[in-house]
Amino acid sequence: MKRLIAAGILLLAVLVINCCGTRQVLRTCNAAAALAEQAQEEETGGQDCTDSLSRLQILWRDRSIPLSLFVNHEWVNEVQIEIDSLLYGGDTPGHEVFTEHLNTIKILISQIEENTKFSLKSIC
Amino acid sequence: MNVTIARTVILYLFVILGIRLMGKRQIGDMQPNELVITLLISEIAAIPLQDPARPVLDGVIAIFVLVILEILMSVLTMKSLWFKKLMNGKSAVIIQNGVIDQKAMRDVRMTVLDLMELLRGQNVFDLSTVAFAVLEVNGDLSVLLKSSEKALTAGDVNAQKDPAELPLPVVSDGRIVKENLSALKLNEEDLRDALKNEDVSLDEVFIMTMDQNRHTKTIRKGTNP
Repeated sequence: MKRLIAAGILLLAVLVINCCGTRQVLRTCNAAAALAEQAQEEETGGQDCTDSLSRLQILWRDRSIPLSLFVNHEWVNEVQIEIDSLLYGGDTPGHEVFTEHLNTIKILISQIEENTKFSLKSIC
Repeated sequence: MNVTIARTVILYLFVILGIRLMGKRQIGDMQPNELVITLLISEIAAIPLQDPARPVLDGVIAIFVLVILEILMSVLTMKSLWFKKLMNGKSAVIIQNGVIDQKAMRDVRMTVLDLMELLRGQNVFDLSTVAFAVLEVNGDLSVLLKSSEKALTAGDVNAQKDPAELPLPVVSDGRIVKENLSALKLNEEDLRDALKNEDVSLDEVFIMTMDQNRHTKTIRKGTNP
């Protein structure tokens, strides 16, 4: 009986960690993707997108530790590097370079999201 | 380096917790599923240690899931004979009434040389002395000798023997083991009387065992062969 109770507690812990982790990762990815999209629209529209990029940087930096609990650290760091290279890359990058970096950020975020969600593909 | 140390400590604690929750078994006594789980846990714990980019939780969650599965398996095995047979297999009677069951040996893929080796492990060197031999699921061979080959017991010669008493360690390395004293329904007063009879102080005792009849065996510290 004691072992069953222990198994029950462990199962509860696994479910809670899984649900919280998935929610945390998906929420962060959605927020980051939205900010990246906003930055791209502003840049395309000729507006200053520094504010959006700064918010994206702050968001990713603040959430990087909780993200690292559930996601491969290299992926988290790659997104951070892409964001930082946009903000600290010296002179304002041209439209193509800017779009390339932002697309990389969006692809990485999408990859993190896909790997977090439960799917048959990842099991196989 | 610090990351490796921290991760090693965390995973070590969780592996110990997992092994503790699964219960006590020695490697040789494990059922197939228990052996698989133990090996898997050690492999999984090593993955986050080898790859610092992987989250520690990956290893911890996998260990938890394995422990849960193992506990569920063991409960099901206890509750259902059919399930137990499915997971662990069943014992095979290799020698019955002194006759080797050759079909049973073929079924378990055992040769005569294997059988002789297992018998020698049970201190049986003569096949004709064996009445029954059962190959257990963990690979051990249980042997029942023929009555004429068994050693005499006190019951065979109607000899009177004192009832068996279980001696428990009541002093270990100079410290009183209170749970064992309570189990023997004795108190510290009794222990101190015993120490006085042995003419030894508590600090000088390496180990002292006592049974309910207050028979003691004491080994002093510093005693070497």
